[in-house]
Amino acid sequence: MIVMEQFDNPVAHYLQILPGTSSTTIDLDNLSDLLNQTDFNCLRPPNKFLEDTPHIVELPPKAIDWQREPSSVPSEKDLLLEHDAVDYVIFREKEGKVLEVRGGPKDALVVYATQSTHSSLLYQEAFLITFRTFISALELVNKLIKRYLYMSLANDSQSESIARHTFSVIVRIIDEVTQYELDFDLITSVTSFVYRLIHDGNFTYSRILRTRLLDRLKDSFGINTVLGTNLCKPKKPHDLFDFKSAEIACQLTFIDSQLYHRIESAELLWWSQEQNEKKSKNLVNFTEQFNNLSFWVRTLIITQSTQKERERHMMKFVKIMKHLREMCNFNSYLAILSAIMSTPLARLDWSKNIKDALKEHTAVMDTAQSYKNYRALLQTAKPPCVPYIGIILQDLTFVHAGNPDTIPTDRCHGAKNMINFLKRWNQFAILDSIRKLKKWNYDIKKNDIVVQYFNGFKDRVDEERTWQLSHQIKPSNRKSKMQS
Amino acid sequence: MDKILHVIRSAWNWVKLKFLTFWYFITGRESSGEHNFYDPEAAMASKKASGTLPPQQQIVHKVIMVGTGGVGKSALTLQFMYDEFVEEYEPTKADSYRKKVVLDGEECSIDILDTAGQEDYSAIRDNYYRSGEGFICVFSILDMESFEATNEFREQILRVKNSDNSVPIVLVGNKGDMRDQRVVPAELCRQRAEQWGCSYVETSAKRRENVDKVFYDLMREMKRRKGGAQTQIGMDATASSGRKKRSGIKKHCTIL
Repeated sequence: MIVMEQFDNPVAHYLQILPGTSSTTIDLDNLSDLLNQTDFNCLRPPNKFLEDTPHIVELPPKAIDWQREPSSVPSEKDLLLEHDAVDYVIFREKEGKVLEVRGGPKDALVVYATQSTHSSLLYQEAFLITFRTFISALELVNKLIKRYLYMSLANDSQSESIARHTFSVIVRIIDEVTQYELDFDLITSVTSFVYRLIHDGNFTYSRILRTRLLDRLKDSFGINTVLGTNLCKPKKPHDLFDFKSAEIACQLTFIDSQLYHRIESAELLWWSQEQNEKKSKNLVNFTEQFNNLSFWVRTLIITQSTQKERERHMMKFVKIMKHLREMCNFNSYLAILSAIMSTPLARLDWSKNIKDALKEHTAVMDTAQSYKNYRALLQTAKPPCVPYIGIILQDLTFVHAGNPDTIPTDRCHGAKNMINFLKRWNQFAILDSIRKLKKWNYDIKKNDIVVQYFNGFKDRVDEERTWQLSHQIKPSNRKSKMQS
Repeated sequence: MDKILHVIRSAWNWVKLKFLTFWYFITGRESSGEHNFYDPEAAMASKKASGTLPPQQQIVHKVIMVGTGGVGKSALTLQFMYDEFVEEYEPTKADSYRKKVVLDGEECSIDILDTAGQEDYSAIRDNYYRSGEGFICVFSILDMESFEATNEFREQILRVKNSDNSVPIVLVGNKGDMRDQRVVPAELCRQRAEQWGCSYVETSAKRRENVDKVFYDLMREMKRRKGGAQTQIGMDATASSGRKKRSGIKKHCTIL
């Protein structure tokens, strides 16, 4: 029932055959250790500093960094043409042991992610997931193309290896580039690079890159491909009880996983900084599905005219929820649970059966101790899984607000514009936990009849109406309840 | 021997349960198991009944931050929780939103629920509000839309709290460090606070201005309210039933 998505990713392959990267599996236990050691005094300052470029206006570091305009590219000594940037990078040091990257100038971080020796695979991953918080995809791709071209011209084996490595990073970026980033400039940069590769006779690389770019360009997505069907209207409209609870749960999961797989880490990072709907389109679709489903469920229950029918619908959704939890679809699970537990519904009187059936679920919604219950549930979940993204967005928002973008100058010998990579480690730790889940797919086929019945979850009333109906069923006055 | 003990124990439990049911039957109270999984009215009643806390148990004030995205809620929370040093902050730790404070010489805890980042998950909001005893309603003085939205947030809070108008709320205009660019006139903010019967505070999370004031003012009001519930249960009950009646009529009108 469960299938692992094929890894037809040549980059993963490249990374494995590259020299200098001895470990190919990323050990995330290390990462949590790493993040636990958060004392400041363990910075190992860089051996070399770049000349500070005077034209950058540096704002005084604040405990809380507002979204600051990215500073313009300094025209420094070109680090991008260096084999090794290790001397320019700030590391974390504890008891004489050098730990991971703590920060550094932008270009040093770029070079360090693409050099073939003295680097770490874990850092490269973290860099690829979080670079957008300090450099745009376009700027990075241009830098990497420059680096690749320079390295590929040299004849020594180290330069060749760096070129190869740089190329694999470019492919990775294109693979995960968002529709928002695929603008005219980026496409032009990449296509000219492809032509250059053809010109140099490197057909393998040019083909790989061209295919990847075309894949991304073709990849336009309409929500209708998931929520729409080609079926004609049935003669007699279906109702909830025409379908098994398990089947409904499956189809909800089909929809969720389709939408979830489209969300790129970049969208989540952007959301935590600026909540721009254009930039984080897939995320917005996913969130909307959550809200629509939740209000659709409320509507179906509260618009029933008799208590018996309301309870019958309620019970059905409790059953569906149970299946969703077994399938580890926490998105729809919480959407239905938040409907059932929403005050307009929860304030009504329900039979003991329903109350008992709900007991095992209510604690999941508890916000105490930073959603301890939900986090524990997610920890035990086995993939494939669709998580509830809201808490991830919250975590990212707080990491963004609580960590400065650059390292305060007094902590690194007065050097300015040192990217605070610890912030990115934190973001990476949050994003990686859900990225892993994307590697798995549910083996579910779309059932058009059920999806048609959902009707895009459009048959729903708004919150205001839900409250009105709730008060009609049970007036809010306590006295009237006693009298009756 | 164990078996006999077990039988006796279960028999005692059965008798106890029956007795309790009978007691509730006579007194007209529902047993707690018979409550809805959430009923604001019942919750309020039970809170009043169990108002006297054992002295060693520390009071926890549950505060919820509300407001549209991008107004600086999270920054306010972080500034209050972690003072000047917010750097290297990890949100997933279980105790990262709870803090011990001394309020007017008395030690207590504040538990902050700030769902910054989750604003678009409107369907789950109502569930989050329920655990709150006090609310901080934040907008940005640079963003009229965020100010307009505060009315909606308050309405939602009042509904969840069963139209209890006395729920402690503080209206907060953030980004006070950029007053020269303000879009929401101070007069308007004060008017709204007056209308709501709450206080208005202008803050700058960035400069840490008035941050403590917001939280301490709110906690004071929450404390007063909790204390009030303890000492004057009788008075409070009559007052609140009168208030509820009014709101019931109001609700009715909106339906018509």
